[in-house]
Amino acid sequence: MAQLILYGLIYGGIISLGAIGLTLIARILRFSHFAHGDMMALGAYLALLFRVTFGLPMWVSAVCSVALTAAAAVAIDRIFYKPLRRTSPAILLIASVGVALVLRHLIQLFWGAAPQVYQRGVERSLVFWGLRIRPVQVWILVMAVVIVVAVWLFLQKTKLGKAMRAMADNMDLAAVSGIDTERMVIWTWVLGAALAAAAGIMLGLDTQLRPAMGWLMLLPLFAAAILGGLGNPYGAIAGGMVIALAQELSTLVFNTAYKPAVSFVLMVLLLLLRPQGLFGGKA
Amino acid sequence: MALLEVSGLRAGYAEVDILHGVQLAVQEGEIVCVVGPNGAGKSTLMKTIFGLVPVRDGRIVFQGEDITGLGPAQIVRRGMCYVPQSHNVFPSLTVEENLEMGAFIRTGDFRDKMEEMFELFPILKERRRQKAGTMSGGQQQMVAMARALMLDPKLLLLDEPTAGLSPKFAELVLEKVVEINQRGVSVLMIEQNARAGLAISHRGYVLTMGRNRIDDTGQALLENEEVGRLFLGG
Repeated sequence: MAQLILYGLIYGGIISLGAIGLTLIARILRFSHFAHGDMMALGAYLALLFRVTFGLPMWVSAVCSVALTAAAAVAIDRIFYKPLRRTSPAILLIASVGVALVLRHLIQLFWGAAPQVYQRGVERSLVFWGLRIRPVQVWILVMAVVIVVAVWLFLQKTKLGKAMRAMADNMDLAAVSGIDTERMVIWTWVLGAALAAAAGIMLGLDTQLRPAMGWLMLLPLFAAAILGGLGNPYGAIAGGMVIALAQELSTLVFNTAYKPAVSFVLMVLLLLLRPQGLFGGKA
Repeated sequence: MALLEVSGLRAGYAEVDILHGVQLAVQEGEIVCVVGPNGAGKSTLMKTIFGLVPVRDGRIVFQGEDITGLGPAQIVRRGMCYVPQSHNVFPSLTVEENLEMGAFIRTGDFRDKMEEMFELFPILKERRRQKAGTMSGGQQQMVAMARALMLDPKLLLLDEPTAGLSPKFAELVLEKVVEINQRGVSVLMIEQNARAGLAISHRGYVLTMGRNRIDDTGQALLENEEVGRLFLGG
């Protein structure tokens, strides 16, 4: 049980990081970004490029990948999404499904469909108080906590972070206050994609890299974002934790294969019972 | 020279013109109130002046500079701030953060200005860490006005500041408008309670069907029989 909670926290950190971007984009740009999972995968594979192909240390590879993924997201926004922004959110949503497909197949084209890993070989698990954890998982957990705290501080303490929350709250009022909304949109993509890349790399470190890894994460990401009240970044973090813990703990009762169904069921229940999110965010 | 001078303003949405050539001026130090029935184009007038609705014809001159066609971001930098009628606070941000967002384009320290706002609206100081969305309508209106004042505007646009407020709060908000004006900010406002609005205004405009109907001093409009019959319910 405690072991499952530990795994849940690791997985929850990964989901939370992805969901923060998703929730901010949903509120600020008013569409569900279906390519977010594949941006995670892009981040993971770009890190693979630097790590394996160029032989750079893992942390350097991760930083390079995060920066490149953020740049890619801004470019995708300028090329695909921005011209469509004046149309309806449904069109943007469909465009993002298209972007998702393109990203996934580009990844498959360059890196192949076979699963890959950053580092070969088996790591010996560490044992603390009877809990088994691999050294790489310790890293993931530490990094997830550090990044979540950093994001929290950014949103809470910096002018840019506050303006991002203000945009998510009331876009028109932000514009009326003289906030350059177009610039804030770019920063939202930078933050969202950087966090997605970090989450993708962590996922790749924890398991392995597959072209569909991001696509498969989409359901828990959306479940977490909705659970936290769409548009609320703090809610997304909490939502990610709840979803991950529920998925891990469900294996006590159900077969592991049903894990993804747990987030789906939670999402549907929530939409039926508390569409404003668990934490009383405004609809 | 007038602080704000609007002439021959035509604007609207999609195929329809809402404003058909509106004239309006605000002199430095004035409170000017626009009254008129629903659908007269009062809100559209405000939004057009502030660059939220495109100008189709006419001119808007602010502090001697032609600002026709500029967007809100540029107009704010020239010293005009706007308080929308509804959704005029950032609900999940604290009172303090709301004011900070009002000062977003200010560089440097704005602590003094925030203290000044807390002095003008003491209730906000008490509740500085409360989320604006959890406050009452009247308190939110004060947050909204304080947010708009953070940039030290020359002219403040208020779109129905007392809409939906209890009579007690409505009176308080209008008292604050007078106080803001006394601190040197000119005010252009729309007021659905025409009588109360005109009573605190130096001058007023009656707008019907997107056209000027009568322009006069606030007091004269209050005493005007036609205005009385049409809008003041007496």
